[in-house]
Amino acid sequence: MIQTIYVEESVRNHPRTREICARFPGATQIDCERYNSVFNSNSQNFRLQKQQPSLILAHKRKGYVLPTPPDYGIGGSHNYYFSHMLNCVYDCRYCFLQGMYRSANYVVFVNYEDYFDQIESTAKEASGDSWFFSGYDCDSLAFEPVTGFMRYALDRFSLIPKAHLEIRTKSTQVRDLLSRPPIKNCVIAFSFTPEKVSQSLEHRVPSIKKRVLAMQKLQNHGWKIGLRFDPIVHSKTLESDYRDLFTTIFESIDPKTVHSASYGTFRLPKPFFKKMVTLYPEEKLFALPLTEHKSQVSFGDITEELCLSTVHNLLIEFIDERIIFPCS
Amino acid sequence: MLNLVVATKVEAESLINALHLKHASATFPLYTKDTTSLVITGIGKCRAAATTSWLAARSESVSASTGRNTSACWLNVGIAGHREAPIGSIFCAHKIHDLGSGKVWYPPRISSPLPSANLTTVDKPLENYLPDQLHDMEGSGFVETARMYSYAELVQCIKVVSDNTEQPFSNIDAKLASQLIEQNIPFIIKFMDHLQALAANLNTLDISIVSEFLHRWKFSVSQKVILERLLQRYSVLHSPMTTLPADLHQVTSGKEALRWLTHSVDSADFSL
Repeated sequence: MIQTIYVEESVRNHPRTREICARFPGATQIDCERYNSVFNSNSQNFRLQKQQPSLILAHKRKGYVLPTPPDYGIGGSHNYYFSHMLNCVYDCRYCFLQGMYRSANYVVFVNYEDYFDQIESTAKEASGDSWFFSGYDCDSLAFEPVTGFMRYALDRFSLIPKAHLEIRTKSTQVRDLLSRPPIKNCVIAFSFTPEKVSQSLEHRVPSIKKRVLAMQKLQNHGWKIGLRFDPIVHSKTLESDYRDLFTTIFESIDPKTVHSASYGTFRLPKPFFKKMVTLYPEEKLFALPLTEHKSQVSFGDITEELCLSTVHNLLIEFIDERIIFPCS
Repeated sequence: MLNLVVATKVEAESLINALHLKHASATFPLYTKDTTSLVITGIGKCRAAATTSWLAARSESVSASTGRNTSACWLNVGIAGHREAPIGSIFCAHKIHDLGSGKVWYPPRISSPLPSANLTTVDKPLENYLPDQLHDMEGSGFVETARMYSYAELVQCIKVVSDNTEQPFSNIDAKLASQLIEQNIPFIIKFMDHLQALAANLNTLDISIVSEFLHRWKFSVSQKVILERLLQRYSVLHSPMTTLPADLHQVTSGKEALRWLTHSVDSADFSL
């Protein structure tokens, strides 16, 4: 439950600000001139804030849509991402957000219209189809009952057939999606790690069983489903762990209608990793013998290759190789 | 570790008594017991800043890697004016505005039953109260300085309303100031306990053996950072090191000790 809401002056009277604030009648509201005076201030401790994050309502001023890193995508040639929210309601220990942001507070930019105006113009300018990825700086659906962002996004994307939307999530908040007809240019992509990894590293995340059930409901309703296995965290039981995971998923999901699957290994920019170690020195993942290469911290080439080939070889037992995309 | 920063002796008295603190220094009036310290700063933000810095410098156990005493809680307690709030009501500050410089700080909210309010720090008492604001003369100096030594979440201000439009500043005397703090001692102590419980989340690994290493061998500043992290990893992957392993008794330099530790953690079990 949100106990504190910081409201940027520029959105104080925005209808969405009023709607969101009304959902938390007991919350203390604090005015701030600009959201970054709260979010980016010095000396904050992400770990302490994560115990009771506050909500910051703000106006996004630029950079609504950005190009993805070169190897990020699921087959499209024009790939972009956007973030209507910064930070995630979940607490995955491997997540780069802990290393990237000073604050664990949730920022929601309420000027949704500006995002989609830029998405429309970006899609129009592109020579072919474009992909727009949501869920890079937050979970796309976990905060949906509060923000209603995806409801708005789907209305807008339904009018831009050249633009494809990926909604990436670990959430089971699919009620809205089930209450509307699916649109062809949208993929709901669920992220998974094996049970053991999920239990030790993905705090507050719904169980695999619940996520698979949500995915199954969406697939039955006609939505395109994606599978995301990123990050792969090495373990001695990697192969059996992923075999169990895939078996659980494909017992409930029709592999023939899966839109795409992607995977990538655990890796972090070195400064992010360093900060995460300071926050969680007792985390076993960070104590393992990881390697540094080109400012990235990872399990190292040999282990990574083993992880990637193991997951790839297992995946092709279940789904068509043409819809499998490695991410680096 | 809890550091209390209070402007005047009359505001501090009931805290000193309730926490059984003993006089410990005359440079600045300092009262301590175990890991709790209370310092009296004198009136005004400059004095608050200077005294806070002095108290921080006295603290030990600063982490080599973070440069902070990560478990230190800092609490400024004092009286404040407010246009409407009743005399004796207590608040923690959620936004601190320095009227002189225009600077603003947002002390992160911690789960506490205390109500919160804006706090404006002024250079001299205002004749007309600003709306919806507490007014004090130390808050900004304290928060700006204490945040240099600890995490923002652990730096908080608690204010008890001493004057308002009906009972103005000129009515305050030493007895009233002391009484107002005294009647709120249970709330203040509860807040202190809460703050310290929050800080306890940060002290999850015991690497006190580091002092044994530093005693036996020489380490450069950067080697100390490496040593702390290796001992943390050792603690996670094996078990906390409480005494020096026998192998290390043969080691003759800090560099060799680091090499031994590196090998020990890098050859540990490679899975979660």
